[in-house]
Amino acid sequence: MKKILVVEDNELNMKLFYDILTYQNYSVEKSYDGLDAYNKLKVNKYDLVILDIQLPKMDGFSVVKNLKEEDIRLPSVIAVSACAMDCDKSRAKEIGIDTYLTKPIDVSGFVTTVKNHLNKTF
Amino acid sequence: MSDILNNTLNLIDDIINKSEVKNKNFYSHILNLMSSLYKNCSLGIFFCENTEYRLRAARKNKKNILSYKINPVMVKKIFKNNSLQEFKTVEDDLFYTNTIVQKLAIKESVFGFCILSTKDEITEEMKNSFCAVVNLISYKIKDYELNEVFKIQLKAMQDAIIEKDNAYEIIKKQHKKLQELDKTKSLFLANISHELRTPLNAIIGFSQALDSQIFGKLNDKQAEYIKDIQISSLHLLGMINEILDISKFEAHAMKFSPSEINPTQSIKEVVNILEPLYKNKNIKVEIKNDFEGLINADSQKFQQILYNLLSNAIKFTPNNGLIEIVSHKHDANYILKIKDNGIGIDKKYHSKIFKKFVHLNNIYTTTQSSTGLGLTITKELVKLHNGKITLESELNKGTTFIMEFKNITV
Repeated sequence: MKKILVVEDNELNMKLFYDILTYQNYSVEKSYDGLDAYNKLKVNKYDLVILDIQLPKMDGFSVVKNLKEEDIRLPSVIAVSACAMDCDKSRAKEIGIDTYLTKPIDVSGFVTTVKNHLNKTF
Repeated sequence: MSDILNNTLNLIDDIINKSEVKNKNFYSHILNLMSSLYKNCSLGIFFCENTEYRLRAARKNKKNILSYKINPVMVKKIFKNNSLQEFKTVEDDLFYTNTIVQKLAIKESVFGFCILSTKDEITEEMKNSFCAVVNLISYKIKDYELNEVFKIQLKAMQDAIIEKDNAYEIIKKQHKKLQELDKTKSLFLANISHELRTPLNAIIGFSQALDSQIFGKLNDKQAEYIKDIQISSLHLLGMINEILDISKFEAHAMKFSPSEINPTQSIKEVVNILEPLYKNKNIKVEIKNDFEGLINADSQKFQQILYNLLSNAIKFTPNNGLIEIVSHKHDANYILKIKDNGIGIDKKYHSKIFKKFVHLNNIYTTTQSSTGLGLTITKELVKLHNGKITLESELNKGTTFIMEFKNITV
């Protein structure tokens, strides 16, 4: 079973991601802030990360940047941000985040994106 | 003689430098000086002071200065005549028999008269030296006046500079304040956008999850309501996006990344997206394209223009209507028209329609809320592509939006 880490500080959005992804038969682990996500990614192995950008303690960009600087191998990352300013998208590209989605997400589109990313790792 | 003239000059300089022109001392000095030039003579100087002519005269044998108002008739007489002329006055206790008058004047500007009056006969030499002194006094007075005018102007200029500097400081301060406010506004809008999108993500996500019926079957009413929730959520999202767009344009922060795109392809894609909307009203959409080449445009923004205009056309066209999308190339320009046979726009609104927050009251807009920013954004997007947008419309006949994009064909 594919293991996905969802990093999201909003309880209801977390519930939405969790329900959709578990329905698709993925194993989902929850993380509610950037620092926690950073620590989890440091020790655990995941197939995919769903990463919010504006997070408490450490923002999504910093999580990826810090781990890359420490040469820790990251699974593929789907950033899901509510911040719609253009700068975020280019920043995500700079840091090397594979996909950047803007909230609100389209559920079926999101499921397809997740599937594509997980197939890519094979 | 030249010594006397030099002394006169120096004296006048002194008096003027002490800003004593037109005061008692000035007259007294001049009169005494001139009296000393001639034996047994009386001198008078009078200046135009506003509308009143006041004579100040000194006589050698009387040390005091006399000052009295001149008879206007006499003034007129003097003004009429050329300078340096002999005249006799009725108020003659001041003057002797031999009297001459010389204008205190530089060219046409007359500021007074000097009168020389003596018991003796006035010789040619006396006349000449009198004229010379009067001329000197004239120039000194003119110099002084110019000096005064210059001083006033200098003061005015200095004041203006100070005022300008102050104004500049104020503007600088206000500019800084505005920049801060603008930053606050942008930050606020970015934040509000974030804050609104977060719950909207849950609303849209959960309703899509319910709509997909993966967690259980819905009855007809539930399915209908969940669709209504989705439509309203998407409507809300559209408005959030419009507010964000307009604030980006206002902050000059709208990004523009052009590439070579196929406009026909873009048109077809947008028409496909809107298919459910126009099919629902049984509206026919025809694409009449006379241009097969590529254009330099920002793909996403070009489609946004099309989306805005087409969805508007669909909104304001009744059932069974017709919408035409016509495009062609003219020189290096790309012309795009979106024509509907809908309700049309009254002429009086044509100039207002691209302005912010404009709502036209009609049966369509009263049932559908909107930000009133759609066409403003569209106009800005067209401008971004070096284009301009105009409209032709007649009530109940339809509306055509015409865009001309300059030099964007490849």
